[in-house]
Amino acid sequence: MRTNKGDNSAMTCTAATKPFPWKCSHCRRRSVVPALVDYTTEVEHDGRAYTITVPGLEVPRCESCGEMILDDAANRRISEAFREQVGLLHPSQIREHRKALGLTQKQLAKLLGIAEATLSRWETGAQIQQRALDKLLRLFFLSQTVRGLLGDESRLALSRTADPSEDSPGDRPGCGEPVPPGSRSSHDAERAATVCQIAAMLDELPEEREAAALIHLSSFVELLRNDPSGPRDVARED
Amino acid sequence: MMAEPKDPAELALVVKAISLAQNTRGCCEWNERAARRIRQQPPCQGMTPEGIRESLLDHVNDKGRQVIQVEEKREEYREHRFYYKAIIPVAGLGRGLFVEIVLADDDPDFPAVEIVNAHEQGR
Repeated sequence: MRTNKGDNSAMTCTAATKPFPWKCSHCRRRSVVPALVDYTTEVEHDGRAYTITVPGLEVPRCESCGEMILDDAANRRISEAFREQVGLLHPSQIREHRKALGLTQKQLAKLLGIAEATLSRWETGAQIQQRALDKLLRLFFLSQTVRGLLGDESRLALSRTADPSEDSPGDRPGCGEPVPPGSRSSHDAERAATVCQIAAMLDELPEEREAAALIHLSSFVELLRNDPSGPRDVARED
Repeated sequence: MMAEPKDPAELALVVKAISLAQNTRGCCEWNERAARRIRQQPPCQGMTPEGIRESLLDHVNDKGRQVIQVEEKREEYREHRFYYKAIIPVAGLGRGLFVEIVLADDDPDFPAVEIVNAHEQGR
């Protein structure tokens, strides 16, 4: 799933540089010049704290007092290092995978159940997606089955809006509520439970193995789909 | 009704710096300590310093909204006579994003501002 990463090309692209030395906002001396530093910082994300180190980061730094400025390029490198360390999709990857599926931001946001503005911020690097949503994105991009599931869910939501008399909320069970076997609601609930099971299994894996597991899962689903004899219960084959 | 700025000339430099920042590195950047703090306590789940900067540029340059000059009264920040605030509408932040900047360089050709704080408005 990794492609080229971290370009954030949709964000402002600065073409020129204010001539050095810059004035230091701390000591007020005109002695800020470019410097290379091994930069370490803490990043809080999803309730966890991560220590990120970026070796050889170019930052404007005051030669008099040591105060540093983080310009846009430096901040993007730090965010990129964070995504790399945590194993999150990079903005360009989200954008490219979405486009490869022929979806607009609005369409993908609707399928995922998130605000269009949020997806836009993920794609520009303005915001870093939560780990759970990153997993959902990966599942969505890799698996046609997941796309189908979410598409069905989205269509059902639309049909409910269009015709409140059909499949009204009263007929649809909530999470964990019993449903009549064989009904459409029962089928939806089973599919939702399957997605939850997949997510739970992924959660049990070490983070670095999740991507590999998703690729295997996707391949297996494709295999079942393309099998002309139809899907079989592989557990019973032995 | 917006109060008249006490120092219109300095406010003009701030606006110029933000305008220049669209194409010029060094005119609107993050104070390192402030960016470090934001990464540890992001104002909105996962919002990055570069995203906040981009929102500020968009707010002022593209949407034509104002930054407001405020006389600095906090003793520990008196090295600057004024700070400047912008309150930017951001989905997910009910009252918007408060961004605080200071004029770092009053060079009339290449003025520069530094972002020194950002948090959810009204926190």
